[in-house]
Amino acid sequence: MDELELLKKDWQRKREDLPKLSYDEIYRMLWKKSSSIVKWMFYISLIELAFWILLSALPFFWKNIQKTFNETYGNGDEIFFIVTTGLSILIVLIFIYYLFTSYKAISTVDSVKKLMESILRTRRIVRYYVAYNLIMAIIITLHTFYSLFTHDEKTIKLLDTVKDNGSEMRFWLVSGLIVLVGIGFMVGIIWLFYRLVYGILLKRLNKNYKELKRLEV
Amino acid sequence: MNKDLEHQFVTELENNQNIVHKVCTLYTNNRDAHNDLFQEITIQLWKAYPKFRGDSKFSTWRYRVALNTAITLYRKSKRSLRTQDYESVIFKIKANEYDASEEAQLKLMYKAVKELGDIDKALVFLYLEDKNYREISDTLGISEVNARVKMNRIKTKLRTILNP
Repeated sequence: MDELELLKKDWQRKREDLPKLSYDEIYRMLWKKSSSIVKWMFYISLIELAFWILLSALPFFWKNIQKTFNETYGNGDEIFFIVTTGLSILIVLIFIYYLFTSYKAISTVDSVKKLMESILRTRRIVRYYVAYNLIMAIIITLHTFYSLFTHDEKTIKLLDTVKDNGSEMRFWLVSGLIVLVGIGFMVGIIWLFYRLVYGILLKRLNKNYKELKRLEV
Repeated sequence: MNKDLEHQFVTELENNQNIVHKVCTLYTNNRDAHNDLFQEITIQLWKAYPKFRGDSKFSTWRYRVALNTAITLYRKSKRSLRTQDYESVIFKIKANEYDASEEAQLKLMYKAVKELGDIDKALVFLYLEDKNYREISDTLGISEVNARVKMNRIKTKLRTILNP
């Protein structure tokens, strides 16, 4: 293409109209803070990590919750509690390990595509962690409801009254609906939050990555 | 941090800052954003630098770091949303060196290139820097054949932008 060759000639020839920074100006830049998306992603991951760890650690610090827990579930369910806590600590540790190794693997000297892949991989690890937390939250919620109906005296009494009234079916439908809506609302809020945060941050990357991927088809 | 290394890096970048400025002119629309991106590329280059001490290939990697920062890492700041045209300042074409039609053509070309997508710009940039298709494919992480196909498509795209 003639025009492109003309452009190439011009591109390689002219120099003097580009900005020219002094030694000191460049030197000062070395100490400025980076504002790359990787850095932002890193901070967001740390907040996520802290949020979920705090959320799962909350019952330990809250004496009342612990007491109510023991009263409600009885001692038999302590094993369930210990197992889930141990498991979640292990999973958090594994997650932290993978997150940091994948952050370290992000390198600006890789090819454009590889850099994008390592950023997306890191992002995926965070997503898995959030999914894991959501699934755990749902399991715990369901388990709590199950325990309420099998262990909690007040609830059992309520259930008996309902049975006597003959509206058992309606009772299950309504409470089932409440649980489902509750879970749906929680998942929805978190999903929306993630779409917003990562959507803004990675919109351009996703678009460009798709374009590179499309080339291979 | 090692003072010698700092000095070596800054000197090297000062002497080769044109490459970075060219990337900045392609990917930004005003001087604030240009400086912002230049700074981010400098930070990323500096972070990568200790790995290439004494390595002659640093010049090649400079392209990668600069393009990676511009395409992927750089977050467009609010300031850059203000689209103040400064192409005329950057790509100032000297009338006495070209005939009028060439000048008009060049202006159109620069404008057309700036309208391309991020990936296309990178390809054009490397092409204008006289990189061969092997280097282009290495830098972008696509196959050589795909780099050629893509470049041909860009040429067609540019042609339609120029002659709608």
